[in-house]
Amino acid sequence: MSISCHSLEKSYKNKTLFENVNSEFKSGICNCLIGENGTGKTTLLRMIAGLEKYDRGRIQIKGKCTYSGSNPYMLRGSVLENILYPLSLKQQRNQKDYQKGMAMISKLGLLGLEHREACTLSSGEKQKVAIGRAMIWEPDVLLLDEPTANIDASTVETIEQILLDYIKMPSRTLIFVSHDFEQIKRMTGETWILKDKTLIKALGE
Amino acid sequence: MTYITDGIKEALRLLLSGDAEIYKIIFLSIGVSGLATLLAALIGIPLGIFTGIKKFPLKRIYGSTLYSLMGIPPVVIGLVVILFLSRKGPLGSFELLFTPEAMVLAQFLLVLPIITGVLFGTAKEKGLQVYELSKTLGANKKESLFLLIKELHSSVLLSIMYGFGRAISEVGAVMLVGGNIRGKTRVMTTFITMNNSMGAYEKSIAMGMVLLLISLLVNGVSHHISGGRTHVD
Repeated sequence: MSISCHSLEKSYKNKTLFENVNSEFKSGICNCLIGENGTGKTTLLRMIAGLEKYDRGRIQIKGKCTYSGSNPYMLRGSVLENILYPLSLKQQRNQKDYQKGMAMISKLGLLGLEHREACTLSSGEKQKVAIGRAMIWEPDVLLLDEPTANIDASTVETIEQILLDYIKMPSRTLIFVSHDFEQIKRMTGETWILKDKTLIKALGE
Repeated sequence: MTYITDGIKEALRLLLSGDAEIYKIIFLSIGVSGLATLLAALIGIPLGIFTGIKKFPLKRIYGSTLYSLMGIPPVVIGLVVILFLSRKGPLGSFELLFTPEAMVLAQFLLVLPIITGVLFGTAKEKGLQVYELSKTLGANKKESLFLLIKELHSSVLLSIMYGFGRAISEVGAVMLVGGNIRGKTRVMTTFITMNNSMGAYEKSIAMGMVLLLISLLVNGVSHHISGGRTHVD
């Protein structure tokens, strides 16, 4: 287990969003988060990522954690520069990084777009870039908010396979938000439902 | 109508002959407004970005106040600076009134809300996304700040251009705190106002042409930076 939430509480504008949220997200499997609109799925992911404060409780995370929203921000520059951004933080980029970036672009089906300005891409292509940019950093915890919402049906399963391959390493955990039940069936190891201000684990189908 | 054409001819002669007084006024104007803008940028850029991305109580009121201050009349700024710098004022002992330093101070106060406001508005929307992205991809605070400046660079340059444009074209504040003293605090706008009231239109036109040229240059650079957009992204 690489993420655990203990007695989490969160209110927003005098409205209680969560009360006593307890969960342990297992590593090596897909953890799918579902719930009606406004139940706080995005807020929960952002709290785990450290982008949102909570009122009470504790979140424990082992390792590096990254979050990608449903409408990801593209940095100035090309698709390749966006994908390579995390690798350029700690050291000068080298040929190996470039090859790694190109391999990621190829895997995501973005070959031919590597030199295009990232902000000119379609929403679906931006989501692919954001997934690649997050994965190239090799985080232990990958938090994705509706990662395939804008991606065309023909490539959704390719992205799902990329994510499943990524979490084959037992230390890695994926939590993603989805409203697509077919996708949940295809991917999920465990499904979590946000309902009545708390998080419950779904049993069976 | 001839006085206009005569005025333009005389203005061109004054400019091309390298009239010492005219050029001294031009350089003083650029110097005072440039220094005021530089100082305002040093404080306004980090302040605008920081307050834009941070969540704090009364942020909305802070934003409204900042936007209101962006349009404050220069003469009001001049009055405030006079109250502080006059002999009876709290800073009277520094004897800064009717000096270029007082003009820099007045224009600094005029430009600071402009630079801070432009950056605040941009950082509030785009800056938070950039900051969160850098944070979730492992950047430390220094790396996040570097990325923020890189991503917001067109807004940074635009705010400086807007600020400088406003400073160099204002007349109320510099007239009050500088006093339009010949050879000491006379700048382009006060020179135009004075010569116009005296009927010396050729000198007014000459300086007006220079001011117009600078304004066009500043606007041209701003337009180029913003890529032809009419708003800051």
